[in-house]
Amino acid sequence: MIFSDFQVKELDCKDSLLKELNPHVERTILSYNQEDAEDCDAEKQSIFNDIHLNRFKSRNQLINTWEGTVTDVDGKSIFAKLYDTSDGTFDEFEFEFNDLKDSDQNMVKEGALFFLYLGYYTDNRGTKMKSSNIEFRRFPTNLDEDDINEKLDAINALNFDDLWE
Amino acid sequence: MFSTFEKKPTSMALYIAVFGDFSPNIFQTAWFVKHNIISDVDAENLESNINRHQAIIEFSYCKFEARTRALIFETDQLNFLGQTLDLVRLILNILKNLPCQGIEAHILTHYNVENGLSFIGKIAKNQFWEDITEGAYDCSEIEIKIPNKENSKLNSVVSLEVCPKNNNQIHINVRDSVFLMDNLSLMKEINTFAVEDIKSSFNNSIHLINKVRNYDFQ
Repeated sequence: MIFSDFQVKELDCKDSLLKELNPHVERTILSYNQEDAEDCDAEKQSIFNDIHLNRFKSRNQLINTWEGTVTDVDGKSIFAKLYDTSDGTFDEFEFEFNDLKDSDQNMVKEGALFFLYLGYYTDNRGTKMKSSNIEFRRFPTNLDEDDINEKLDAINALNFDDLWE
Repeated sequence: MFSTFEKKPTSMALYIAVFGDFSPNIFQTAWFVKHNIISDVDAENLESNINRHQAIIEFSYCKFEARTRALIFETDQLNFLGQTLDLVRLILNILKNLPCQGIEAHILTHYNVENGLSFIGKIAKNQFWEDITEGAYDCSEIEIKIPNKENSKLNSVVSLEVCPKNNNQIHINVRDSVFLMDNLSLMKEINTFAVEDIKSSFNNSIHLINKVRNYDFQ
């Protein structure tokens, strides 16, 4: 068997090769899983029982959410296309750099994705007020451009099927 | 787009749990800044509690909790689920070389009904159990396990119970196994499809809850 053939076979039939070369490895993995299965189930259950006791409560009570993408930037103005997640409709939206958090301002460029939230915000003194908030979606810094494009494609395939028409 | 609840629950909680082996104390707020998940300004305002056994960080849209055997993402509104899944995607990507043992998605809902015991009793009432327990069977809790057709090790657990705090309210919960790894897969091997599968798991669970809540029991 030449080396390249072996590589192809290894990729295609990893499991069968594993059995062929060392059946003991397969048995060890299986027995490890069986021994751990019951402990694992009990542990998972206890994790959920525990976290349910200490529930998260956001200060924002949302009325609606839109997913948006920046279509154009002109001076202080930002133009975007919005997708309403509640009814699947699209809209145009214009906002300004001043509407953004300082840390999000350097993320504004054509194609950038964001969430627009509309709802009520309750501060730590209990005062309730209407609020809208724009949150730009972030990506890891260790990705190269191809990786980022791949992730963006995956996100777009999930949520933006019709947005790019 | 996520499915919606046809009858709106009075409150809800949505959980995503990623099982593996983790060191909670790495999840400092500086770690999130380093990986561009939050800005350094936002990091200063975050509520956090980090020690060797547990790290809890509360963002405006979700709570992130790291334990030695699981990472748990929790939010209280469907509208925050998109951003929460972004966080899951980011963290799975950063921890790409760690093994993952499985992922679960869990929804808890709280509904007002006229009479919680009567609502559940209509589903669970069964003469057989009443005879065995001589009428002491109060039908206040039901739990069923629905096996996955494609993978017998995966299942959804649907549970209904009368709210312990208020008899006029019920809990309808769904705990769904999204993945269970037969061997130790790495985060990077599941990252490309994990979020999509979590999303469809939530949609299926919402569909199940709608079915239970809307069914006209005679």
